This record gives sequence, structure tokens and C-alpha cells, in this order.
Amino acid sequence: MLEILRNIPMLVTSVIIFAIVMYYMIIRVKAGTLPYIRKLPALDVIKDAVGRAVEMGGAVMMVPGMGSIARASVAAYTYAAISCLSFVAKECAEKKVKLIVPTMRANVLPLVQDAVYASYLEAGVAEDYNIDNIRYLADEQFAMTTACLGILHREGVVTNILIGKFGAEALILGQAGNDVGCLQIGGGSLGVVPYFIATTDYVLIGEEVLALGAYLSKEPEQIATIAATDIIRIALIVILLVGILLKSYGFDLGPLLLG
Amino acid sequence: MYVAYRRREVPLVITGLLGFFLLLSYVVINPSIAKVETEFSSWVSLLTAFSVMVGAVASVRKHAFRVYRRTKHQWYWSIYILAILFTFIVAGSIQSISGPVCKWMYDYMLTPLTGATYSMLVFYIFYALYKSMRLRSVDVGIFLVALLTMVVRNTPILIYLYPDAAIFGDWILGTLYVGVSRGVGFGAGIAAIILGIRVLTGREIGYLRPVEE
Repeated sequence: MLEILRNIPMLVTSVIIFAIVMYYMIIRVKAGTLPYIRKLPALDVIKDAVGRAVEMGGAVMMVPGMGSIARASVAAYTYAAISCLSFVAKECAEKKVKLIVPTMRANVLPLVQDAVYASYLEAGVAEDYNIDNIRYLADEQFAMTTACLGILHREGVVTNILIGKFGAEALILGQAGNDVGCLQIGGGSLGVVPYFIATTDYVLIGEEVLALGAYLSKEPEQIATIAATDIIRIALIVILLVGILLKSYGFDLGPLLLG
Repeated sequence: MYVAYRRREVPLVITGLLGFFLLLSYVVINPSIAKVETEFSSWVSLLTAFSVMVGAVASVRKHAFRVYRRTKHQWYWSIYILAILFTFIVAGSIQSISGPVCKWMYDYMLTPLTGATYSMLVFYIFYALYKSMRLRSVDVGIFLVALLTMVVRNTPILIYLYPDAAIFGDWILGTLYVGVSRGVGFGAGIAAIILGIRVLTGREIGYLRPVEE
């Protein structure tokens, strides 16, 4: 048994274990046990942020990061950003607010177009969907950044949502949004969190970004997947602590498990 | 009109099957599977290249309409963008992408502009630093202490005057920062795997256009 485990890469093992925990939680939710999920202020404020755009007669801009969907390391953030975009687009469609979505990667453009269109359709206002507001600006980091700055300054953006995979441009976009008086929500990987903390009003950190789709959907089955993440994390922390204790007292399980 | 190939299930099934196949290729070491995996990776490059074309067409369409409609304060910039785009395409097609015209445009137009935008970061970092220094709450106070320590630690004259700041700064970087970043990375890794499972099993479908009956 241990021999088989040694031959299976850790990634596959973790995917199998995580899938089992996830489906166990979904079954529990279907049986009627709703897990507790802590509130994320940055996401709860999205409705208010769109409402602010209605009151001020301005537009909402959401940048779903600079990441591609063809690179595994950043695709998760991009998918999470698109999930959030669906929610934002639905809010904008219902409240008749102009939504501008600049994209940097051409392979993200069709997904973004479909996500926004699906939200308008769901809100029952498909005729309000304007494909010209979903913009492929450039495939180069700072060309895209400059174009976004132009949109922020020219098109009356009052709510700026920056969620996804960002790099150095996060600070430029966040600060520019601050300069024009936008209400801003930022979220990304750990590297850009300091930039967002310094420039935006609400910040999502690390896994909060990746749990967006499930959190915003409010569907019990999706919420179950967040609960599964928490259970796995607690289990791994316990395993780490046990490992530290065992190693401290001279028991090394590494060679036994990993070969 | 009902169109079978536009059903949401089709891309979901393709995503699921390919995802699980690529996952399987990690476990089963077989030359045939490895060959198919390499082939799929080439397809990704091909599809990415094709999507750039889709993006370029969308961009041309948008700017052509701006010029056609004489959109206020924007149409002349659209002409500029279209001119640059078509010059690059034509020159690249005739001379190759590393030909003198494309190279000149890249070296003397794109690179300086990129450098100029990047240099803006210096001012924005300074502005963000100034804003962060406004003491508004206990959280910001903690942030401020760490920030000032790091400023002292990284400034030669200040570190000469306050050598103890280096010890505290190293502790912040080596213990606090590393511990927190490992923790956040750990949580993000678990969440990314769960998100991947959701995508592969068709539970994350926000990016798919619904069928209009």
C-alpha cells in the first residue's frame, strides 16, 4: 500500500483526498446540515459599491487580473475573478449601471464576454449588454495599465474592483482609482496584498479570492466546498503539528511515507 | 433556435475529460499517454495564439467603430492605434517579427513607454507610503511600526544611527513575514485545488454562456 502511495505524486493524492472531503460536505449539506462560513466584508460590500455607482451616476470598472487561463499557476485566480465578475455584472444589470471590463489576455476575453452576457441574461436585461464595454486592451502589462488609467480618468468610474492575478500594476491601478475618488475592492495573491492594503478600501487575501465563486453564489452546495477547504486546512495543520512533535522527539515519518 | 454544439455541457465535458486525462498522466507513466499529453500542450499554445487573433479582431472592430462614429476625444487615438497595429502586422508579415521595422517599433516605441509607465511606480510607492503613515487605528499602528522599521533597516544612514533596527527588521522579515506568507500560501494552495476540482467537475460554470432557447 505504502509502495503505491509513494508512486503517486502528492498533487494527485491531494486532489483525490480533497475531492472526497468536498463531496462528503456536499452530501452533508444536502442532508440539511448547513456549515458556518465567516463573513467577508469585501464581498458583502459589492452590492453597496454598485449602489454607489447608481447614486453618483458613474460606472463600475472590474479588472479580472492580468493572468491567463493557459498558465496553471495563475488560472485559479482568473477563474475566481470571473466568478466574482458574474456577480458584479448581475448587480450592474439589475441596477442599470455601466460595467467596464478591461482584459489583458486574449484567451480570457471570450470567457469574460460570456460571463457578463450570462449575468445580463439572468437579470432579464440581455438587450442592455454592450460588448464594447468588455475590452481587450493589450497583451502587455504596462500598456494595459496605462489604458486602464485612461478609463479611470475619462469614463466616470466610481467603483473600481481589482480582483485576480496582479503584479506591480496593482499599485498604479489602486492609487489611480484612489485619485479619482473610487470606492475600491482589491484582491489577489500575497505579493500584491500590501499594495491593495495601502490603496483600496476593502481587501481580499489569498484563499478568500479563490473562494469567491462559492461565497457569492450563496448556494448551499457551493458553500459546502468552502467548508471542505476549512476542514482540510485544519486537518493539515494538525498533521503539521503532530509531525513537528514527532520530529522533535526523534520519530521521523518522512522516510516511511515518502521513501 | 436550439443548437446542440452551443450547449453548456459540451465545453464542460471537454474541460472535465481533458483535465482528468492530464491529471492521470501524472500517475500513469506510459509513452503513449506522455505523447498525447505533449500533443495537448501544443494545442494550448495553438489555441492561445488563435485567441490573440480573436482579441485583435475585437480591438480592431471597437476602434474602427470609434473612428466611424467620430467618438468625441477618442477617434483620433483610435486611428493611431489602428495605424500602429496594421504597420506591425504588415511589416511582420513581410520582414518577419524580428525584421528592422518591427524591431525599431519595439525598441524605440514600446520599450521606452513601458519603462516610463513602470517608473511611475516610484511615485505611487512613495504616495502609498505617505498614506500608510497616517495613524487611524491599532491595525494601522502595527503596520506603521513594521513599515518604519523596514524603512530604517533599508536606509544606510539610518541603520548606522539605529543599528538595533536591523535585528528587529530581520526578525520581521525572517520570522513574521515568512510565517504569514507560508500560512497564506498554504491556504491559497488548498483553495486552488478545491477550485480546480469545481471547474473539472462542472460546478464552476459562471464563465459559460447559457443557451438561448
